[in-house]
Amino acid sequence: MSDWLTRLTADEWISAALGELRRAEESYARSDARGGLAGCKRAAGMALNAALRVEPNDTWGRSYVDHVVALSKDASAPEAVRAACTLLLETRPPNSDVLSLRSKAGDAKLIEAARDVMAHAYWVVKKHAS
Amino acid sequence: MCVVACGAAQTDVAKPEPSASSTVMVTPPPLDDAGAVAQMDAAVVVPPETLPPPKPTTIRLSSTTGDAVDQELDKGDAAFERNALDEARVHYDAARKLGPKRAGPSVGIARVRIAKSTSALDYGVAKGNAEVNTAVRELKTALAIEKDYGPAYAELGRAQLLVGDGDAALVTLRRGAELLPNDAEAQSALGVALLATGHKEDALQALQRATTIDSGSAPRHGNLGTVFLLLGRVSDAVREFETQARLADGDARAHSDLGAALLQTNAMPRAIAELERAVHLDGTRASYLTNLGYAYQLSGRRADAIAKYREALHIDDKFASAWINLATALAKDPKTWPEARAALMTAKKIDPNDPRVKANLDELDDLEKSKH
Repeated sequence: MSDWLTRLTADEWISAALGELRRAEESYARSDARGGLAGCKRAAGMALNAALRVEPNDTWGRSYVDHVVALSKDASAPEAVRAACTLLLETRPPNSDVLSLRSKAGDAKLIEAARDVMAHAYWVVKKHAS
Repeated sequence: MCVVACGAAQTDVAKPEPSASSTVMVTPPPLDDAGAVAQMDAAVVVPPETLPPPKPTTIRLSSTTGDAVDQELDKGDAAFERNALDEARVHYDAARKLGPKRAGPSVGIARVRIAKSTSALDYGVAKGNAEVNTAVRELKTALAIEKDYGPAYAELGRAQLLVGDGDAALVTLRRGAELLPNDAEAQSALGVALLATGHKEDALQALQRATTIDSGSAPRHGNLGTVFLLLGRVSDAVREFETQARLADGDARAHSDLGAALLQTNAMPRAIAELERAVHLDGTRASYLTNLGYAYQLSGRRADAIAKYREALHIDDKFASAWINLATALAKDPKTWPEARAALMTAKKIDPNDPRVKANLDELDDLEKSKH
């Protein structure tokens, strides 16, 4: 198992993901949509590191986004989780040269998507703990 | 999100984001933070409540008759609880010989089959796993024998989830939870299935029922606390982590969980006490040391914070969060700005995409400019 993955235990990866999600929420709260989206993806990816810690899978790649991409295409994953991954991946960050109309509801959807992925990862971890 | 005008193609998704680094639950304070947090909350006194001992996590297969079949099933359950899978199988086989028309033995045999085949399972492999599929068939056969046999629903639902049939798993596990309303594990199985399939609020209810039924189980309180955090309910999470820490006082993780959650509520003295306890119990985890350092930093104990970050980095010099937090502590003193910058550059090498690195480098730039 890779050194970068074993640095934290599965539970520590979940904790790290929760911290990242909180930072994403804080980014959205101060209207930093780019930071919020990046944080949501990182939070989801960190939680998936927890899943990888207990169920190694080389096809999931190394980066956080690699993990989210892989889960979005995993037919054995629940539909809601794949949809959450897709939302995270397909949502574009704001550009400096375009004006985006963002809404709190839209931001909340992305936070919820990250939570769905994290919840799925947590289930994978708990499946091994039980 | 509604995009009014479309501009250049986006690039961030394809950009690799190495996950080689990690981060702790806490956010480093901004560099211009005054440092001291005068939060002197009173410690919450947890009432000396006596909780019952934890219940077994293996769903009981025996009925209430106590006959020879039940006795073998109970022995099988006890062995399964100890993870003595071969021994459990012997007893479940014996039960089947004694009661071929009973559902329990088949459920036990299927349970062992699944446990053995999934003990080292890679993600998604269960879908094509012959043993798991055989177990699913056995469990369906058991339900044909006794159509209202709750344990069969609970085990079948778990197996269906393993093979990727989430919708069927939810229906099955709901039935199992209905038939076994006082079984914590049946409620928990439903809860984790709901969690796995994107039904977080419903999952919470099921996991709360499981925790109420098995209130003496530290892991159940810890799981529930984590799910509360997932839902952003920090105060509820603190309450569950408090119970977990009280039930498992010797478990470093339980105290770290509680301390980290308390940090989110700015309950500094209590957070520090819990994080110190975690480090006392297990001083080898860089994340525990970093969280403790952060709590010291928020409380204005800069020197203590720096010492803890350095201890964490001595254990794991690729722990990006420790480098970032160290930098924020060092940046409080102009004399150590160069060292702070070096720490941030190290963090950047470890995780070039960590947004905290850029934000803190920008702030350090501003601080240095304002000085000149």
